[in-house]
Amino acid sequence: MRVFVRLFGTLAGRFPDHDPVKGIEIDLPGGAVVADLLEHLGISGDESGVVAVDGRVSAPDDPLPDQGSVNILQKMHGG
Amino acid sequence: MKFLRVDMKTKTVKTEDVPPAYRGLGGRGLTSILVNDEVPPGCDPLGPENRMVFAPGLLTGTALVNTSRISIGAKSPLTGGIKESNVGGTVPAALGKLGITAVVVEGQAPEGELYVLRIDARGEAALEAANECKGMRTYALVEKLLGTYGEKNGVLCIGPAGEFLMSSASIQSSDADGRPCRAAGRGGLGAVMGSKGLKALVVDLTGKSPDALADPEAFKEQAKAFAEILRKNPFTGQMMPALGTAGLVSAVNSLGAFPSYNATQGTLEGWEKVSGEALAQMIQDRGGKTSHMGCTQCILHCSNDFVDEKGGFVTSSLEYETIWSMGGMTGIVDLDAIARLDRLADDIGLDTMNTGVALAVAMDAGYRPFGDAEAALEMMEEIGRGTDMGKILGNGPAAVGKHFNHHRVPVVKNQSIAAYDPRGMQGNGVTYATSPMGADHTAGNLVGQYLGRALDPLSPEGQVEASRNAQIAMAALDCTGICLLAGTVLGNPKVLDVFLKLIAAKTGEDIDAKGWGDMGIRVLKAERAFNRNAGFTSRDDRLPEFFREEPLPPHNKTFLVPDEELDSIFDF
Ligand code: SF4
Repeated sequence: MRVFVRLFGTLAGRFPDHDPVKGIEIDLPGGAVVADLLEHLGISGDESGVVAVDGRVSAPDDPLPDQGSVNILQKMHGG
Repeated sequence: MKFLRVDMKTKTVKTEDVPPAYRGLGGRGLTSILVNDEVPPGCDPLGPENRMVFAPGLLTGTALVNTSRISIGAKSPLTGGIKESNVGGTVPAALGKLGITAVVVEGQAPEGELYVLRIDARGEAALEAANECKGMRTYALVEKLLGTYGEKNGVLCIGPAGEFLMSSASIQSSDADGRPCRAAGRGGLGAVMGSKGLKALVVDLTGKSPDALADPEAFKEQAKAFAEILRKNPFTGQMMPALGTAGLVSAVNSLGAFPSYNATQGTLEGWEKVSGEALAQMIQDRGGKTSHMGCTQCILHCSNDFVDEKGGFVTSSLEYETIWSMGGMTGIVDLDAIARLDRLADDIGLDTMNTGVALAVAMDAGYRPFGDAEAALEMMEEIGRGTDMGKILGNGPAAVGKHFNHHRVPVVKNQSIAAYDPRGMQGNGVTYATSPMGADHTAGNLVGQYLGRALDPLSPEGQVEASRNAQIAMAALDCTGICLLAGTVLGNPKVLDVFLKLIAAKTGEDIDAKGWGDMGIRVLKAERAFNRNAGFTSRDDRLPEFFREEPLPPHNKTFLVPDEELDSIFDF
């Protein structure tokens, strides 16, 4: 399966192929879940990656949308 | 530990020891409890009976990082209730270093007279005539005042909006570089200052007589530990210096809760162009500063210096809430225009949030089209000149809504909401509705919990409890003088423990987690009491009707938390 991933916060800088508008395309085995994507990208718990699909924050075992877009944010607080 | 009592009528300043009833209080605790004790709740907020209290936090003036914050309190001309507005810069730490617990301003100067309150390096204060500063915008004013009194001074001041007694008037605070770019924006306290005839406070930054610490060794040790925690935390240590609060643009748009086009959409079309990431890139390409120390002793550096295409300084700091109010709500998807609007707001002395939302309501009512940056800049200039329309705009969204008979006015107690839509983040709606301050995100913001999946933002379940806990924690935090961005780490009980040890080492009185909560509750109770006596009822703890009637795309939800639940929030 393929997902279109956009990275935000301080994450994008780690991926030279990342385009601010289009993000990056990631291929994963069929049936991959959110945790697989984070692992694939090497985003650890310390970086507090937050995966948003369709305007909702996903759980680690939520399925990913094949050919769909995913935003990866970082946990933030309001100021 | 002293109060400076400033009487604008007699033009005298008296110094008194902090009365026993107020010992151990600081910041919002002190302003709210003192306002509740001394200000007649029914008084005219712009009349002589209102009092203004400037109180640095309990830990402000100590060596602890990120504590140059001050609470300014009074009865608000915007909400008609009690107000605490918090700001950083250099004056808060300077007052703390002079051992000044609060400056209380009462009475009124005769009409047409304007004064500067000067506080020197020994903590001696006097009112000095400043009629030549009449009508001055804040950047020119601060330059003039620093020219007169010397660079090593900090300034709290008002611009034309404050002199015009507008309900969105802010009090601007000079930053570490001597620019009046930090704002006690909320609640129209600039108008209260204007009504007193007080144009500015000028405080010497070299004072060296802070209150003695009860246990200096313990304080030093815990202060070091706390700074280390801030440096290691990914949010405070990395994200804040990289993106500042503007990093929230992506997060809140990604969740569909970014009120756009006067709260008719939950995502702003083209938000990527005004995101924190885009902002940082633009500033970097142009040679500005992506991170900057806004307030004395800050190690987070959430601030930035926005520069134009030629590298010339435009404004500091472009923050999340302003990008939202001046950009999202107005549909102006252009960082250069937003930066100019922010600069104008600082210069005229206006709350960027209340003002941006006022412009958005005018646009929504058909006065000018959404997305028209030139029209927005013109409207700001009208406010600055105090034209008839400018006065309506400068009195905030509720005044604009009334003028145009427009129903969609996103305010509570007349104060604009912030950059989290109550339909997309239901708990923030609870905070807006019930905070004694009116709609105020800093009173109890749950965005971190939503991003961390601790709570479903779209469901009414659990929101009242989460908002209550956040409001109590914030009321306590606002007493201490810690910047709220640094304060985000206190959600971890172990870190809170370090922080409580710091308070104990300052005051000499042990405080545990329960005592911390009790402090917050005490503050909220005083604020609620003031508002009740000023005539507020549970009907004032409501969002405007359209939030229950008009679903917000993309989730197409309305605000779902029942009124009875809202009314139970402060059943302490
Ligand atoms: S993080 Fe920002 S608001 Fe807080 S003290 Fe630093 S510059 Fe001021």
